Amino acid sequence: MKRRFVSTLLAFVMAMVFVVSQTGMASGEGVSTVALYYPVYFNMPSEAGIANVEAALDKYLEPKIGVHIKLHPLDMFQYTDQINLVLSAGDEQVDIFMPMAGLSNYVNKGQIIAMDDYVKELAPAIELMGEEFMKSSYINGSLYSLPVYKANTFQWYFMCRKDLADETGIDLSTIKSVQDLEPLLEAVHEKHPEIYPLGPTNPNDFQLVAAADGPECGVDIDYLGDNPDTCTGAVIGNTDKVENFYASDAFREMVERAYSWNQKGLLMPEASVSPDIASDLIAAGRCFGSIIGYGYPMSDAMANSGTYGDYTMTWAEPATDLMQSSAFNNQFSIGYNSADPAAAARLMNLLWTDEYVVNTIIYGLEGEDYVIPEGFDPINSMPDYPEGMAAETVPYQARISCGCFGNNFLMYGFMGDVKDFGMNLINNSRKSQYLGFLYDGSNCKTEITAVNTVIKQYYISLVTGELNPADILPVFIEELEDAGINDIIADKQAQLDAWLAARK
Amino acid sequence: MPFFGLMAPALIYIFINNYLPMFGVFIAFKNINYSKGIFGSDWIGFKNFEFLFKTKDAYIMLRNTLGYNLLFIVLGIVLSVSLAILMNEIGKTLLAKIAQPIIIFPNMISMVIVAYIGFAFLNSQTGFINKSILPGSPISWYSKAQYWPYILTVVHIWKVTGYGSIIYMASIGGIDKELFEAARVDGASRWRQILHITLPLLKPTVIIMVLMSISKIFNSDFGLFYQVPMNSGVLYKTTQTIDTYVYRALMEQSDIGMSSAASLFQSVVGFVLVIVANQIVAKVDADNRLF
Amino acid sequence: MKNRLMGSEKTFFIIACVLVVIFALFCLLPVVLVISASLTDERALVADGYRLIPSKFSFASYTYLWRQRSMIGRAYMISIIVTLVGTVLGVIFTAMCAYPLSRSSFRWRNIFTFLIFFTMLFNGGVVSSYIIWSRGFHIKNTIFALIFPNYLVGAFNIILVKNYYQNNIPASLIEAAKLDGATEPQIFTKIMLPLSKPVIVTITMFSSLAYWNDWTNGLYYINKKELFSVQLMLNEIQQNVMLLRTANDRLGAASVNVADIPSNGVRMAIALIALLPIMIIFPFIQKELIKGVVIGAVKG
Repeated sequence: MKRRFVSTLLAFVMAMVFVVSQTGMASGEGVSTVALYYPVYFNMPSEAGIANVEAALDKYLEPKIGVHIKLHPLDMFQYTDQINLVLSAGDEQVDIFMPMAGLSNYVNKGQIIAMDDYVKELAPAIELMGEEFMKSSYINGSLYSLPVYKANTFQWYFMCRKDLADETGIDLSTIKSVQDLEPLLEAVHEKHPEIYPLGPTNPNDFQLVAAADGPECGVDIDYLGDNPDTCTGAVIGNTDKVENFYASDAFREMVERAYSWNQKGLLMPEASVSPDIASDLIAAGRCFGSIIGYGYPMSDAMANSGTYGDYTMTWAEPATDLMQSSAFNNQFSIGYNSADPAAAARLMNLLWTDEYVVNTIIYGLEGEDYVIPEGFDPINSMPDYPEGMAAETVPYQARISCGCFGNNFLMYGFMGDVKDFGMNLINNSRKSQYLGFLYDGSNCKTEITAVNTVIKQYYISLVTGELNPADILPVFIEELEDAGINDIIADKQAQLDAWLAARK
Repeated sequence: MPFFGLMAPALIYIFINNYLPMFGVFIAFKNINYSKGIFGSDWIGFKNFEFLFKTKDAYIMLRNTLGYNLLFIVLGIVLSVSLAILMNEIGKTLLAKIAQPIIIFPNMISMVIVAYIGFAFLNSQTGFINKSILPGSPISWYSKAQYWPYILTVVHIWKVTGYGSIIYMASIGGIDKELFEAARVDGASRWRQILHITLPLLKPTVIIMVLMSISKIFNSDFGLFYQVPMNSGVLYKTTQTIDTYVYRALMEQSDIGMSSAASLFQSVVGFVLVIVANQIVAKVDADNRLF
Repeated sequence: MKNRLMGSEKTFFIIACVLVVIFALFCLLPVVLVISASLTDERALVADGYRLIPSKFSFASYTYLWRQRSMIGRAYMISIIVTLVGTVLGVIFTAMCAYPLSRSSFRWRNIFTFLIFFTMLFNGGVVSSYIIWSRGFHIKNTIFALIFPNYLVGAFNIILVKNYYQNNIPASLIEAAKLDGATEPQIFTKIMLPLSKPVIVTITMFSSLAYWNDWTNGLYYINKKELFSVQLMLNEIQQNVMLLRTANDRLGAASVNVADIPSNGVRMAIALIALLPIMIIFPFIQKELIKGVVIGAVKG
C-alpha cells in the first residue's frame, strides 16, 4: 500500500517535471513572451498576417533581447473597453498597453506597475526623449509609463478658402492670435452673408478655447492634467494657486468673444447640436474656414489634399500651445499581471529606439505587406502596398496607428520634415511651470463626477457662443460650487503644494 | 421530476449567465483595486452612491425618469394593443403583408441614425419642419426645453409601437377562432367582438407587460434621451434621466464602482415597486400575478 | 340583419385599413429619408440637408461599401450563423422551461418564476459577466462568444410563453391528455407546442432580432476581424469614420487621406444594409403570426 503511494507520487512528480520542462521549452531557453496591445484603425490585420510578422520579429528579438512577441492589435473603437475588461478579469497577460483613460486612474486601481526597477532596460529610450519630455510619466516619484515620442503640442492653423481670403485683401501673416481673426471673418461675412465665416472643426467645437488658451493669450493657463472641458481647477498665470477656470477672466474673455462672434453672424449657428463639421461644409461651399491644430508642418500639398473639396485653401498660423501635463496623453505602460516585466521593458525600449521593430509593427513585412518602390524616400513618404493589394486586402498593416506608437520619428514617412517640425515644437514650445504635475482625484470622486455633469450642461453652449455669458456664467459658477468644485480645488491645491515642495 | 428535466437547460444557462456574475453587486460597495482583486478591495459602504444625489439634477432626473416611464407604459399599451387589433382586422390582405415589416423598421434603426433624422427634421437651417411647416416663424427646437417631452414621446412611439404590438398580435392569434364565429352567429358587430372577446382575453398579457415595465421604471432608453436631443445642455430640464446622468458623470473616468452603484440603485427601486404591484395584482386578480 | 352586420364589418375593415396605412407611413417616412440620404451626393447633403428626393444623386456611399464587400459578406455569414443557432437553441430552451412554470400542479412554480424574473432586475454588470464567460468558459475570440453571453435564454421570453400557456390553453385539454396516459414531455410536444405557435413565432422574432442587432458581445469578446458580425463591423466603420474625420491629434490626420470616405451617406447606407434581412424574412413570420390557432381542431 505504502509502496504504491510512493510510486504514484514519484510518477506524479516526474509528470510535473516533464510538463514544466515542456512549457519552458516551448518558448525557448530563457526567452519570455511579451504581449503587446496596441490600437489599430480600420482594416484589422488578419490572423495569418499577424503570425508572419510575429515570426519575423521573434527571429530578430530572440538573439537581441531574449523576447518573443505576441501582437494584439485591437480596433481603436473597442480598445479602451477591451483593455479594461482584460485588466479586470486578469485572464490574459497584458505586458505592454496604452493607459488611455489617464495614468493616475490606472495607478489608483493597481492596473499598472511602477517601472523603477527596469530603468536600466529603458535607459536608451528615456535618454532619447530627455528629462523634460518624461516629466508626466512619474507619479509620486515612480516611473509608470513612456510617452509616445511625437509632437505633443500643436501649431494651430486657420484653414480657409483662398479665393475669399484674397478678396478681403487681408494679409494672413499678420494674424497672430485667435482674436486677430475677427476682421477677416467680418470682411468675409459682409461680402458673403450666406457663408458661415467660421465652422466647427469637430462637431460642436470651433476650437475657440483650445486655440486661444496658449501663450498668445498673454497668460499661462495650466489645467493641471485636465482638459478645458473637464477642468476641476487650473493655475492661471503661474501663481501656484489653484482656481476655478470657469470663474476666471481668461475663460470669460473666451466665451464673451464666442458670444459676440455668434451675435455678429461669424459662427455657424446651432453648432452646439449640429453634427456638421467645417471640412464638409467648406467642400459644400457653405463655410469659409476653421481652426485646426496639427503637429505637422502645413504645406500647399497637405492643405489641398482633398479634405476641403475642390476649393484651393490657404492658411494663417494664429496660435501655439503651452506644453503641460495633459499634452502627454498617449503613453505605454506595463500591466500588473505581466509575467516578466524586465522582458517587457526590454521590448518597450526597442519600440522607441529600433527602426526595424517599429516599422515592422506598423507596416508589416517587406514584400508581403509593403514594397519599397524604386527611388523611394523613406524619410518623407510611406511605402506602397504590393501590386494589386490595398489597405483592405494586405495581410498585415497598422499604418494608421503611426500617430500613437512608440517613437513616431523612426517610422517611414515621419523621419524628415515631420520630425524637424515636431522636434521644433517639442524643444521650443513654451513649457508650463507645472509640467509633470498629475492630480490624483481619488479623494474627490463624488465631487468630480458631479462637477463634470454641471460642466457638460453649460460648457458647449457657452463656447459655441449660443448663450450669453452675462446671464449664464453666474449660474454656471454657482452650480459648480454647489456640486463641490471648491472641495476639489482645495484637494488639488494640497497636492500641488506637496509636489512643488518636493521639487525644491 | 419531468418538470425539472424540461427546465434544466434554461435554468443552468440562467445560473451561469445571470446568477454567477451577481458577485459584481459587491463592486458597488467597494473601492476597486485590481492588484488586490475584486474581493480583496476595500469596503467603502455607500460612498459610490453619493454622486447620484450630489447635484440638484437629482430631483430633475428622478422626475423625468419616472414621468416618461409612466407616460410610455400607458401610451405603449394603448397604442400597441390598438395597432395589434387593427393589424388583426386587416388579416391576410396584401396591405397587412406590406405593413407588417414596415412597422418593425423603426426598431431596427440605431438611435444614432434616428438622431440624425431628427436633426434633419428640426434644425433651424435646412430642417423640414421650419422650412415647410413654419416658414414664417421658425422655432429653434434644440434650445427650447418645453418642446422635448412631445418630441421624445413621438420618437418613442415611432420606435416601439410596431415592435410592441407583436406580443399582442400573438395573443390575439391565440384566441380560439370559434369564439368569434359563435359571436358572429349571435349577430355581434366587429366592435362588440373586440370589446367583449378580444380585450378581456388580452388582459393577462397586458398585466404581465405592465408588471415587467414597472421593474424597469428607473431605467430609460439611453439613446432616446442622449442621442436624439443631440446631448444639448440647454434641454437637460426635460431630457436628463438617471441613465444619461450616470453616463455624463462617468464619461471622463469610468469607475465601475460608481456605475455598479447606479445600476444597483435602479434595480432595488424597480424591485420594490414590482413586488408591491404584484401584491396588488394578487389581491385583485390572483390568476394573473407574476409569481 | 345579416346585411347590416356585413355592412358594419366592411366599414370597420376600411377604417382599420386607413389607420394602418397612416401608421405605416409614419414609420416609413424617416426610412425613406435615410434611403434618399444614402443616395445623395455628399456635398449636396451638407449644403441642402436631407430631402425626400436627392437633390443630386450619387452612389458613392454604396461604391465605398462595395469595396468592402468581402468583409461585409463574411460578416453577414457570421451574423446569420449566430442568429440561427442562438435563436433555435434559445427558443427550444425557453419553451421547455416555460411549460412547467405554467402548470398549477407544479409546486415550485412561483419560486422558480420569481428566480427567473429576478434576473430581469438585478445583474452583476459587464465586468463580472465577462469574468465568468471568458475565464470560466474561454469563449473569447470564438463564435460562442457571440451566441452564449446575454441572449440565449431570457426571463422576458420565458414569462411571455408561460403566460401564454397559462391563459390560452385550456387546462381541461392537459387533464384529458393525462387521463389518456400521456407523459409530461409528450403533453409538451404534442399539445403545448402546436397550440402555442403565435407566441413561439413571437419569441423567435424577438430572439433573432436581439442576436441580429447585437454588437456589444463582439465589442467585448471579439478582436479577430474574421469573427466580426455585421453589426459590429457597421459600428466599427461608423465610429472609425467619425474618428478619422474629426481627429486632429491622435491619428495624425495628415498622413491619411480620408476625403474619399463619404461619411454622412455611408452612415445611412449602413443603416439600410442592416435592415435587409428583416425585409426578407418578415413575410414568413407574418404569415404564422396572423394565422392563429383553432383549439377545437386539436380537441376533436
